[in-house]
Amino acid sequence: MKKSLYTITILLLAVVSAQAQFTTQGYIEFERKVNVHRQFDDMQQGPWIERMKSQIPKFVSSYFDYYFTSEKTIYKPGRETENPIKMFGGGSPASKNSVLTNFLTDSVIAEKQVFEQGFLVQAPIRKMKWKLDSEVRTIAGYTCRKALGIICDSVYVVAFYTEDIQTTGGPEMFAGLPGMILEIAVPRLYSTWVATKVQLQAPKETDFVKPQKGKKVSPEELQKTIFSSMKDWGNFASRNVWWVTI
Amino acid sequence: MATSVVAQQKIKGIAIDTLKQLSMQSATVTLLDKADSSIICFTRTNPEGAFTLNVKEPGTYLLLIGFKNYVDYYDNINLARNEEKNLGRIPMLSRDQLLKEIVVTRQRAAIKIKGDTTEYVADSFKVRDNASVEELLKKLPGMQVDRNGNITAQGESVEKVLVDGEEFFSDDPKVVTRNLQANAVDKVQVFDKKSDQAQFTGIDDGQKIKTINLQLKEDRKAGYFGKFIAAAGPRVDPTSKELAKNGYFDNQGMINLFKGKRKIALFEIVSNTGTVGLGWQDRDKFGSGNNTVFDEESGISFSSNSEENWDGTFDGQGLPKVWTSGVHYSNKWNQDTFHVNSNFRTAKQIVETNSNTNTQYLLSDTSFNLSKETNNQFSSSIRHRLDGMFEWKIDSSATFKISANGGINHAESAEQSTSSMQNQRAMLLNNSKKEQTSNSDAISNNATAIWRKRFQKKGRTLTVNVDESAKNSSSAGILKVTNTYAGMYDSVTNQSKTTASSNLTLDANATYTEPVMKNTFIEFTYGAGIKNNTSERFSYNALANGEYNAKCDSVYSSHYVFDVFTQKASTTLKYNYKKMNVSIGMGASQTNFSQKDLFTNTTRTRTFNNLFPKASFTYTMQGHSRFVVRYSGVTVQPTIDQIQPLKQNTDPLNIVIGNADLKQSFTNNYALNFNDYKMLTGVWKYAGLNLNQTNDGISTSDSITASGRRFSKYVNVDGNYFANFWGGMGRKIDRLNLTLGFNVNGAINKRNNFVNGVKNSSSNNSFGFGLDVNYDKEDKFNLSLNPSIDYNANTSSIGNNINYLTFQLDFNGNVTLPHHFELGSDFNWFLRQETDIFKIGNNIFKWNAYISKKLLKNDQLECRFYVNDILNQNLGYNRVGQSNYITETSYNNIKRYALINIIWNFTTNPITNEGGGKMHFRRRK
Repeated sequence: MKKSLYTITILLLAVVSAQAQFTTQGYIEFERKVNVHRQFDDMQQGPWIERMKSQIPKFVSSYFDYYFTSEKTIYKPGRETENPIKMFGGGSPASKNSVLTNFLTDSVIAEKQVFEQGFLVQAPIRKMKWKLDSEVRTIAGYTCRKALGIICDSVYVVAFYTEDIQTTGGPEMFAGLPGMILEIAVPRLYSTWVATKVQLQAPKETDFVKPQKGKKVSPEELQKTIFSSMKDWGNFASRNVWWVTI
Repeated sequence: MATSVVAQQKIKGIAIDTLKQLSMQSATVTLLDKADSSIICFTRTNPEGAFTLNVKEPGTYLLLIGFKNYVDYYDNINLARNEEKNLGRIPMLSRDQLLKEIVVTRQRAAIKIKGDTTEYVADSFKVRDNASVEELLKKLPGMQVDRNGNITAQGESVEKVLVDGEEFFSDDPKVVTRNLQANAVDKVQVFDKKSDQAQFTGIDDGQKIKTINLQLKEDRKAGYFGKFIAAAGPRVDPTSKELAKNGYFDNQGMINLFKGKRKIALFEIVSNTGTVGLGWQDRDKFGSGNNTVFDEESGISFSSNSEENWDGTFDGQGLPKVWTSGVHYSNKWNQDTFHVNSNFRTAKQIVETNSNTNTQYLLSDTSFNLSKETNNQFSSSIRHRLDGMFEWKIDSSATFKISANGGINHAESAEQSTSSMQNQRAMLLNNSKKEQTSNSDAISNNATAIWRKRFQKKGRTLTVNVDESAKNSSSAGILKVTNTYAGMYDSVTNQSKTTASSNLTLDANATYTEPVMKNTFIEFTYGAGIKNNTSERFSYNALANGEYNAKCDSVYSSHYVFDVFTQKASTTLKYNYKKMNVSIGMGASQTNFSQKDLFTNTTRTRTFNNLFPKASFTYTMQGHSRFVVRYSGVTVQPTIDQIQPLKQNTDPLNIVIGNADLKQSFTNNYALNFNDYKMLTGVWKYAGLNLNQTNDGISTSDSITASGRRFSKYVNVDGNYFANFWGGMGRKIDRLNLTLGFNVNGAINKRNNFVNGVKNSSSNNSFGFGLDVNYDKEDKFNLSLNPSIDYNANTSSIGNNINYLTFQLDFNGNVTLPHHFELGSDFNWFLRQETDIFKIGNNIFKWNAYISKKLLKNDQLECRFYVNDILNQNLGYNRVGQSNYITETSYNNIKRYALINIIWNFTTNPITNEGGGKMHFRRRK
């Protein structure tokens, strides 16, 4: 016990009962923002790029609905953006993704549209190595811890999760942190998913529509398919592999 | 009952609020690896605040317990094998610093898709050293380049090639793609350029132009680069008289100088091998003949051939010799507020043509006349052209842009021809001998000014544009013709001819857009335009003393003024939502014709009213798929040649007569288009259908005399239509390094005219099928094979049917050999089915080959030995079927020759070969 340190902090709020309500069900809206200008910066500088940038907004937003209980969660496309900027030739990558996670059966089933092809990914819940960071941030009124993860061997993922929601889920196929992920950032995709509102009403059973369209694949098979069909295209393949892996 | 094999460690504890002595339910207990703070496992406390963590491995850990509005508790834990650590009652703990910056490294992808832009990183696609941009484009997935240099991207033909976003010798992409080195290019961006209006108003009108932008490497933008080619070969073709008497040559040079945003480029071509950049097309050599088309969609009327074409492709007839040079200048300053882009080109061209023409004229009683003509022509022309663009961004909401171009042309030609005509029973109808000379000059200019203003309210914009074009031309020449009719009597024409014409077009349009609802806009356009045409055509007959009469021959002379005044107004509703663009509109126009004959001093005016409904629907599907349906109406006004009541006797056996009663024609255009490109599999598909139906189409009424002379008068006819369709698909097969595709196309063209008072409906239909096969083994082989088969059916309600098949096979290949040698060859094999009258000149096998050796560091110097048309089979021949006649022409052209080329690529910066080879998925550790 000597090694333990006691810290007493001044609580801004009144001392809350230790039997505080911990959420196990509800609805979250995620806003996904992609920094298009940063993507353009990859094309290097130049008058051409500046012109392109001057014509489009810096960020492109899209919205996703997320319902959760202690047993399962679903992530699916939400309300339309007012002025959608068409990316990836008509649709942003991963903008149609629908992901059903079941904690009882330790399974994930996800519909993913990759260019013209629909895939149905089936797998156990992803076990990722997360490193905890000291940063704390408030998102949609919830205090969140920061954790860093890596997908595809090298792609950093920043997650903010709140322990105040007990369901260990998150947007896309991100899950497995000791609480609900309310923000994901994938810097190399110039993209963030941030919860803009959290509502505590119980979801309806009909909210959990099981994804069933698409070619059945495992995550590994999907990565392999994407990579092999774009392998001539250099690191464009990598970026698309990342987009299907998230 | 723990076994010795699976060690099991446990951590237990009870989280307790020490102040209130409350057990804490559902607190989060997380175990971290001490070394890297990664999460090992976690759990929640039970209602008593107790928890048990099962830990797989012994080790050094950090325990974290969190609870809403409580301070985090951290504890270091050393867990020995099989240890069961009980922490007892637990309060809280300080934090640790575990920050690590996220390192984002930049990697360059070979292909990226951003919005509607597909971007290729040039160095990711291996091409031969010092290859041209054209070769690079051939390598890019989803892109094809045919042997004439026409580019297709994702199934659609590319209409614009920009360099660093700038127009660069604008209308001649081949100057860029064939002269710019691939290794100067950093990125190739392919996108659908929206119309300027859509870009400005932000209201997508669904109109797109496939455009390629070549982004140059940064290090090439400070300094210079370019290439020189010197090529010469001996005379091997005995048929050429003048132009190749000293052998063949093909010398080219291009240099690009950059400094910041200032860019200067120069090029020069001196060639007699038909190299591109030959000059303008000769269609308006005599300074008139513009068709004014009123395009209701854009609200702008334009002349269908007033734009002098920079596309310098040589049509292959005759022997050419050309000197072409050009200068490009572009710059931006004051934070890009001002932008200038300017090009100057000058070209001199000489063409020597010998041709033989056989024409079968179908008559009204299923009989026909057959005419044979031999023609020798020598023509030379000098053309200069300057174009420029100035853009001023007044502020963030308004821009002003002026673009203008002007040209001066001088052309001279001399021709001699003889012809004879016989009827179906091989009875001679007439003989003709003709000599004609002509000198002509033309000055033309076009200017457009556009002012655009965007208002505070999104979608509310005002655009005003004024277009002006003017052209003055004049010519003088002598026409001498001797005709013998059925060996019975002669007629001699010996006239001096002068022409002078001027055309002025002025158009002003104002367009206002207003958002009416979310995603819905309304657009109002009002425009007015004038087009004034004046044409003087005078013919003076020769007198006995050899001089020409000072008084003109009134039968073959005319001085005529044709003015057109058009007003139009239209309203369009545009709706953009998600993947859909819908546009529905209605326009009305009033057109006034004023025709004044200055010889007879008569004036007549006529008024035409038209309604223009229009609609379009664009649907963008998943990925690169688009579906477009469009309807529009277009009026076409007669040209002054067609309306000027004059007998044109430049060909005394075919006299053309203008008709002052001609009405404007109205065409309904229906179009349907589908494009699809699959990113994952590299599969492309496209299909399209186009239907034009014309009321009051401008056609001819022919009367053919017993002696074989034809009088053609322009008349309006109904029932003309033209329909065509095209489609194709293909894919790449990575495993075999193959790209396979096929295409189909067809056209149905129905035209009505009159022959000796009898209505004739003729249709010219064609259907074709082709295959594309490409095999590309990096650094070794590159082979492509394109076979195609076409069926032509020409039927005429008064005459014969002529149907034939053609088959064409194109092959192109090259092999890389050791010691920097390379071997390449291509051939074009053309088979044409015989017909009753066309029995000769049907099959051609044109075969070219080269061997080259590269020298110096980075292969900057190339020596190449090239033989054109090895078998000397390149036969100049074409066949045209139209309304009631079918014509075949054989002509002289460039045949076998050999050339030795020295090609030097230079740059201020050493050419690096880094980045060669395809980039692969690299995983960063």
